Amino acid sequence: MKQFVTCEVDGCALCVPIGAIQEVHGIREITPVRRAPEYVAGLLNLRGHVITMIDLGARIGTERGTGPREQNIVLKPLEALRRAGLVSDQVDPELQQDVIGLAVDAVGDVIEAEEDVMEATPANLSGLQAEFFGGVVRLDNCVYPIVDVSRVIRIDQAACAA
Amino acid sequence: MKKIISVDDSRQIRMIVRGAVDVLGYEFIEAVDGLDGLRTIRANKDDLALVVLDVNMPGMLGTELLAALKGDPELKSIPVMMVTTESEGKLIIESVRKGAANYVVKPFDQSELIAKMVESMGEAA
Amino acid sequence: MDTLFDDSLVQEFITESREHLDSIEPDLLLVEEQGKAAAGEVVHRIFRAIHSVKGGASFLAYDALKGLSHKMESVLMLIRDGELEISAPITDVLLRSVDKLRLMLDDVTASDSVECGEESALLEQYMNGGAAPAAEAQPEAAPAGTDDRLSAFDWQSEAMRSLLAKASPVYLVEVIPAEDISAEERTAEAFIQNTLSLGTPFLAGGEELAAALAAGKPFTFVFGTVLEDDLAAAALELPEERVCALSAETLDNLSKSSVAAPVAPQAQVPQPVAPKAETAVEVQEIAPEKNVAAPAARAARVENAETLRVRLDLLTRLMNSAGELVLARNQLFKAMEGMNDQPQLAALLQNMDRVTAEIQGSVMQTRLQPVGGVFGKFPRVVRDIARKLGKEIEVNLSGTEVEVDRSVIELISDPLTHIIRNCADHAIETPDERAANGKPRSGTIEIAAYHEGGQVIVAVIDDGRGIDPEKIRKSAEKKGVITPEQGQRMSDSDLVNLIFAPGFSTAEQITDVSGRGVGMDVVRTNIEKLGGSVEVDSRIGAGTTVFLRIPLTLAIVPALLAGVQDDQFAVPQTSVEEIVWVRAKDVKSQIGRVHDKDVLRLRNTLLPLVRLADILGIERTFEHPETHEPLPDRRARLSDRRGGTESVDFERRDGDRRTNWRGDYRIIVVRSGRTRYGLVVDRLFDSEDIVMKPLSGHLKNVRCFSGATITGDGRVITVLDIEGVAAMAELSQNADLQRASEDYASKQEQTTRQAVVLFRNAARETFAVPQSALLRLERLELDTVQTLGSEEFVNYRGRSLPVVRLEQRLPVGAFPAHLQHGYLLVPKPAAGAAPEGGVLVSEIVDAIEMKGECEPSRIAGPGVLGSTVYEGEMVTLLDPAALVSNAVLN
Repeated sequence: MKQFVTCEVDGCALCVPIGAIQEVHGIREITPVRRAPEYVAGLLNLRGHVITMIDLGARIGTERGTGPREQNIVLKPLEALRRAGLVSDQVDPELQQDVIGLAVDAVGDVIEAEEDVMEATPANLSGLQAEFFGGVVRLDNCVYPIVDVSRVIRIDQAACAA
Repeated sequence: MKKIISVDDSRQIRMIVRGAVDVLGYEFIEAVDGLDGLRTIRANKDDLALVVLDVNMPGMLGTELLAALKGDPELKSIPVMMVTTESEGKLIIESVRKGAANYVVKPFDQSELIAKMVESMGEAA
Repeated sequence: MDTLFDDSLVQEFITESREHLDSIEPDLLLVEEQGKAAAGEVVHRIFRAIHSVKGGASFLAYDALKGLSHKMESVLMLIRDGELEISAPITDVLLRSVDKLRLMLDDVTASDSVECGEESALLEQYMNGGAAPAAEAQPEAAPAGTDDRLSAFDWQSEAMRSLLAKASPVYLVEVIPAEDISAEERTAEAFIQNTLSLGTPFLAGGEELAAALAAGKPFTFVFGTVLEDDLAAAALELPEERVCALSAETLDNLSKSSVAAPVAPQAQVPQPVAPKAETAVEVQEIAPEKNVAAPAARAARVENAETLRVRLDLLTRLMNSAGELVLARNQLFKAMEGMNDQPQLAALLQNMDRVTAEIQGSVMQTRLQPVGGVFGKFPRVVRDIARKLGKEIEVNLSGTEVEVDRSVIELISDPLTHIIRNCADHAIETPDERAANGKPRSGTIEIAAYHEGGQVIVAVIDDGRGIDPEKIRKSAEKKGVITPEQGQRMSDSDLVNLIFAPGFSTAEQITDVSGRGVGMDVVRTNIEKLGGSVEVDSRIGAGTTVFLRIPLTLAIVPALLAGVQDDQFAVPQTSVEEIVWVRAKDVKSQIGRVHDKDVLRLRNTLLPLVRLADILGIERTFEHPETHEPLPDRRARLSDRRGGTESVDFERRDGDRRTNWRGDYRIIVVRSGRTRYGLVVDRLFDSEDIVMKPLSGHLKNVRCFSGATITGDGRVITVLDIEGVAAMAELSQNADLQRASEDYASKQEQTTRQAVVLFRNAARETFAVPQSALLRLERLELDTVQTLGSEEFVNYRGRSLPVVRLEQRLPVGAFPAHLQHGYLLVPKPAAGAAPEGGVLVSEIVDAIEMKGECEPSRIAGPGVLGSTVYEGEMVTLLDPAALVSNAVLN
């Protein structure tokens, strides 16, 4: 049985493996970074640490709605993610010190699913970039695409080129 | 003095030690980690003939427990024998310096274990 | 735990070995240089270093490492004993072996795969060339029964018999006190204590260990211990060839010869223990391939009492905490600002402030390390390249004691190495070429470190061939780094600094010698990542200097907070030269335009301006004067008045047209390395101490920021990268601006020159008055001066003109008493009026043109305008009219 945290961004329901999550809390203030890539929402003060906020909607390619981005899913540091097997070695070495938070509209419950319920991501995820997902969880007739954490935190070279 | 204790986080090792203890005709008691071991050893201090101690345990290391035992006037006369994985040379040397009577290296068979246990107990003589 | 050895144990070995290897290099070079005259101390040092490496490698079973270091040790021993003379080829091999050892340390688990056959063979040659080396491993076990040494012992004694009866191993241990005790810096007591803690020693003739050691001669003892095989030698901290396990056969023979049968130690077993007889008790051999030696045990030592090894991550955490503490204190102070009525609180806060500052200071100190550590390896680097290319290069180091944060040291090591390799490879010419150019055959590379303005400067100075700006320009154009137009506009120094531009380094630069594909642009990026900068200065034919500027620490920096619209940014204080506030009414006169860049007239220079809002893509707005509504600021140039295309006339119609309060401009004059410009912002706030935090990898290409921080009230703001902003503003390609600035500057100088008359009163004090302030200057015979009471007069054009002596009005020296004549300076009176008086002076020095600007004078008094320096002399500038009229009013 694996556990996932559900969340919502721009009307899309997704989930994140619980092993990748350090904490979840409400966003008070994000400082936007000028000239930053589109998907970087900005910087946030997490108990004295500066963490980089990635707008999950922008990252996975949702239609930017009026989503309030009220919740922050803080991911564990890279080293912990790697040990948990959630991150391949392909993540850029420049991210060593980074703590990343995903800005989403809302966070839902923790769901548990049997391993065999995960399926390959269906090709039609209504326009979302399939590369950011690593399967889906089906529960009570709902389908939650699983966010592939390693892909999300990987630096998008194209978007970053100044 | 009728008891021998195995302090080891590995159930398998404790089983092996139990086998040897049976052969030697002593009573077997066990503990799964350093703190547990220390408590149990204290509780049985007047009956213990030997402590068989794993060097590498989570939490309190075997060498730390050894130091604790040898530092306690009521416990220091109980012979202690170390169980180590392959050759953790530095730890072995450290243990001997700290007063371990002997040591045995995994993988070992029962006869070697018994022999060394006897040696260790003899040391106290 | 599954690993063979604790990770930390391996790490320690690697760290220590690297340090040993680092120390060997300069010592080897020293010995090579000094040859026979080399101090034995140095050779011994090298020997011990390699011995330690070998020992650790041996203990951890890194065979390749052990083998190579063992051979090195042997060769060094020959040199130490004078049986082999050191030479360049030998030093070469030793140095190369050090390199191979380093390679092995880089990946210890794969160290066996490092190719070192050549070095090994060469070392062996040297080993055999000399006399038979002393350190040959002896067979582990003494042959059964034939060892003479065994006969020295009384195997019949009760002690020995019970020793033999035990199942534990028995060893024959040879001790050479000179080598094992004194040379190893151990005490006899320590050795004895250690030995006793491990087992029981038996000496010949019942002697005591202490006595044998005191005698100083080599001796042997029998040792009973539970430690098997190689561990015994390791534990005793003796070379393994000196500790021989007695074989079972030998023990058997020895015990058989004893009178009494061995007694099995059974005392405490209450029940019959039949199995003992059944089980064949043998000394189990631990896998014999592993040869174990001493030094790991020594790893448990504590450094000499004054220093301590501390893990770096612990220090980093400590430093971060100290930084957070400072910020928390600042926040507390801010919050406490209103509560002045609590005197005890104030005292407590004071105390906390003091302690926090102390902690912060001390913690920063712990991380400071002398740059000499990094510098130490450079002579070797240069030597190797020089030898390879047949050049002669001398390396001079200075400022090695300058201290810098440890992490900074680590980060500049590679870039510096690259720069120096480049220098030796490309910049320094061959001896012949140098001679042909009238230079000494040997080139010099100087590496200097010093403090300047809160930063550390590391300069690499060579006297090589210099960089040709023309060549660079052509090359850069060819590679598309700059356009031909840009190339034309750039100054020589701009061109030369192009070597740092991305895309500039080419395959031609990257030879096997100078780099593994690392270009100068990477060097610059790495230095800038630390908040530093790098630039180069060069003269063709004469040499090149590369300057690295790096911050002292990476932690807390004072910063100026500035705002653009609703955003706030931090500007590192070290980059801030001054702040200029140009009022709206002065904008037209202060701010101009040169080749479509806005510039500020700042004293004698023209400063290029960069509007931060533009760089950051923030839309410029300003407040509508009446409605206070933010409106886009559509002016193309700062110097344009607002208005233009908008239908609303923003200028007030009443008389106060010039004071549009949004029209003021706040400009921060910033400088980083050679880059200097004015940053235009909307608002300025206080300075704050900030803890710099690095930006995420996702933001690495955002050139305008070098980091982020958390302000006193908990908000995250970004920190500006001054050079990055300049790059984004494309400031570098403007030699025009430089020229325009210089023109401007010289023009300024001229317009503020004025014609003055230099004169003296007392012998060595010089004064000046503007010529334009003088009506008349004429010679005066003192006997024509009339006195009335305390006043003096002279006949001037039919009038009585009061005469003022300088010393009467100002604290200056007096008119020399012996002089019979002087000069009268008559100042121009106000229009239409008659002259009010004249000033008596002793000597007219000259009439010249002088800079009008002057500094405040030390002399206070009427008519003193200021003081300046002319031809090395201090000149006090006076307004004669003021002097005279004051006197008259008096």
